[in-house]
Amino acid sequence: MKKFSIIGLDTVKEDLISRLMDLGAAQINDAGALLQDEEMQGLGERDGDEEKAVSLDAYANRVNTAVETLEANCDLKKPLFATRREMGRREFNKILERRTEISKNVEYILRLNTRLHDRQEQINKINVNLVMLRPWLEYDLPLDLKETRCVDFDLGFVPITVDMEGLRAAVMEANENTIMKEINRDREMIYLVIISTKRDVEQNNIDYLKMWGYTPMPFTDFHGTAKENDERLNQQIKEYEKEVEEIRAEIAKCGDMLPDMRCLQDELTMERDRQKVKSHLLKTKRTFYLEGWIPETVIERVTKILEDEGCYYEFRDPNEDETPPVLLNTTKFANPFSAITEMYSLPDYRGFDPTNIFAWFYAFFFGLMLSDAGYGLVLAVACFIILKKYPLEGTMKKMISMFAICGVFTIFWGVMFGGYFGDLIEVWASTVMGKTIDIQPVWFDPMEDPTKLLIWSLVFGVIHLFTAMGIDMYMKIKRGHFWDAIFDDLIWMIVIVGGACWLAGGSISPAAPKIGMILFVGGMVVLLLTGGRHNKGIGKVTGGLSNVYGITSWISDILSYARLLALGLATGVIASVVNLLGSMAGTGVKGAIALIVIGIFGHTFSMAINVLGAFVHSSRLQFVEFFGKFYEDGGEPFQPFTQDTKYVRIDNER
Amino acid sequence: MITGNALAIIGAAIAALAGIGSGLGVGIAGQAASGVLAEDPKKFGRTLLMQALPGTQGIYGLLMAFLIFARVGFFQGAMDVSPEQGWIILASGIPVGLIGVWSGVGQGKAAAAGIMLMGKRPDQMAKGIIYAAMVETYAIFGLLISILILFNSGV
Repeated sequence: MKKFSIIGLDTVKEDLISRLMDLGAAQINDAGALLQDEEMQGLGERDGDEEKAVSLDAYANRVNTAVETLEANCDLKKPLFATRREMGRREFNKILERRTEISKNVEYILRLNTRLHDRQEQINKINVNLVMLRPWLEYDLPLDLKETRCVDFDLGFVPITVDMEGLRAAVMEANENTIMKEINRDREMIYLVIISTKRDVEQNNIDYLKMWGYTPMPFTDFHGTAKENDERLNQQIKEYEKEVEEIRAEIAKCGDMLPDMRCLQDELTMERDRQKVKSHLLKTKRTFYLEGWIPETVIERVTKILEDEGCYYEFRDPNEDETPPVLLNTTKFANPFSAITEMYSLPDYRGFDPTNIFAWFYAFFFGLMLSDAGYGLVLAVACFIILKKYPLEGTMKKMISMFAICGVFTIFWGVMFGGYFGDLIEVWASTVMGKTIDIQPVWFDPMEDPTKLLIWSLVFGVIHLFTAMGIDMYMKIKRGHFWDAIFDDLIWMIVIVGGACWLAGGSISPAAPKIGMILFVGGMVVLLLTGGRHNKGIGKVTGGLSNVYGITSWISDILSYARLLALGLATGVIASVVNLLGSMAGTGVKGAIALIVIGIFGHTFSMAINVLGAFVHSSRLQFVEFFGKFYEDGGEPFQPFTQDTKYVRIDNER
Repeated sequence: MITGNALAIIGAAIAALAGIGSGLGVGIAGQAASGVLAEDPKKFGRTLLMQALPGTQGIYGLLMAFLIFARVGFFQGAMDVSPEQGWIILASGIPVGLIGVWSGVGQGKAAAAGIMLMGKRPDQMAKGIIYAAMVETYAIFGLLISILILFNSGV
């Protein structure tokens, strides 16, 4: 990363910002901090027009609403992956020449959308009323009939738990010329009408009824009986629904406006971003100042732009106290695996980026855990087809490419262990053709000898861990901590190799256990003596002891690689179970059909669950065991100022 | 009189009990997933992925049961296991079966927390997955011991 600072004339500002955006390779920093500097006092001020950015944003949101309305109502085929359409700059500009027209269309769609929402709201309101009316359908007096000359009508409901006899008695006590009638009841409520003669005293029925949990139900907005209202409202709903359908059809007819509107939305987003980024700039009356980060690879192209625009500029290395953003620099093979690094957390700018190294381990472990040539082939082919068919970008593209590579490694391990959809070929031969075929694995069959695979898993694990220690040593030596590299890393490696020879070296050569023992014990003594070297006083002793105790974490780290065996076996077994189920139906044609049908479902499930397992545990081995030894995280991602568009990817060359 | 054959099959059955843990764990994670989905239905795929994590204990149990079946020739119908071997095979089913129950529940809880984490901070999903995967290590150790016992039982 290089830091760049630019001073230029106001006249070229817009053009420069546009060109930097099209290049999409420079991160523009907020230069506001410079204003705090005493020497800079009064020289310049912050650039940027907040209001303009906000109004552009609001406009972009309106276009977005219109686009979403169209997307929801037009009959569009939804692609499996959302990708940006590639478009030449000239074509894009040509579309935007019709900007006023597109804007008009946007307003038209928004109007339709408002009407649509309005009608839907009406429908909701009516539906609420219909629900309210439902219990009263049996009541055949007008709902708005509150009183006649001598009689009062009260409509209301009580909870179903109420003591009806008690309530009736209470009503009669208040006025004996009363009829209380139950109109309806549902699971929660009893609906009542209370008709009573008018009395001289101004006393409302409702007051004393409240004690009984009575809630009055005044139908103030209704005229006529419940049934009439019900019919009327249903009629109204039908009308509104028809209208909604009409509006929807009208919107659906405008489907061909969609591509243009999407372009407009993207253009507005870009304009807004260009406006927003100006607030990172400083300005004087006629000049502007801009600073930021660029990767070394694009210096040449940025220089060309700056020369064209006639700006003053400077590139320099970051200072000690600055933390530049992090852009992973990977080989072509490892590039997809940077998605895994990003998933964890970016490395510190001055730390070590291990993507190029762990990519190989990742694919190797993934293949070992999935370990079926059939699944590997399906995975690789499916990913290649997706990559060919969809112009994916970003993390999605990395992930799919990564799975494609992992699929290839899986094929390798499947051949080594003799797994082709489990034992599908053998089962097919014996159930369908009645023959016995024996497919020999190239290396060995882990089902026959899991102990062998366990030992190899641990060996692979130790290699993986030693690689991590190697990186740690490299970093320590580079920073001048030579003895730390020896005592914290190298001695541990000797101890582990020694321990392994001591325990299992007997099968290699009779002398190995003895040498191993010497290495192990000698290493442990050194660890005990040096563990407290940075401490003072009693810390020298406890530091050594805790260092020796660290052997437990090493054992758990190494044993953790037993998951390679567990997941590798799991694939083979589940696949065999699927084949076994398929072969139970019978022999010959019947067996073939059963094997195919059950096989498609079963193996899809088995593959899904095992790919998930391989992905998760391969990641875990990197994150916990590998990264744990050396990784310094906390890097800020490099965020270039670029066309952050949603629908089109603009190719400036065309 | 319990025969060696019966003991071996009991061992396989115990191993398969690991499915209890997975059942409970996937259930716990599923509840959390529904909660998150209520807020944002677009997260279905990712919550499903997290929900599947505690399912592995059951798979390890199934795996062990099948390894026992294969070892003793259960499918071929020619089982001939001595009582002593039978006891060893029974013992081999216990670690994966028992550890699976609790590690499945534990992983389910970790996965549920991870799902909620994802609901609030989708960018931190990977870390939630790793937390859940930490629990699985112990189920794997159980499986490891089970396999080592079985394959050194002399059957």
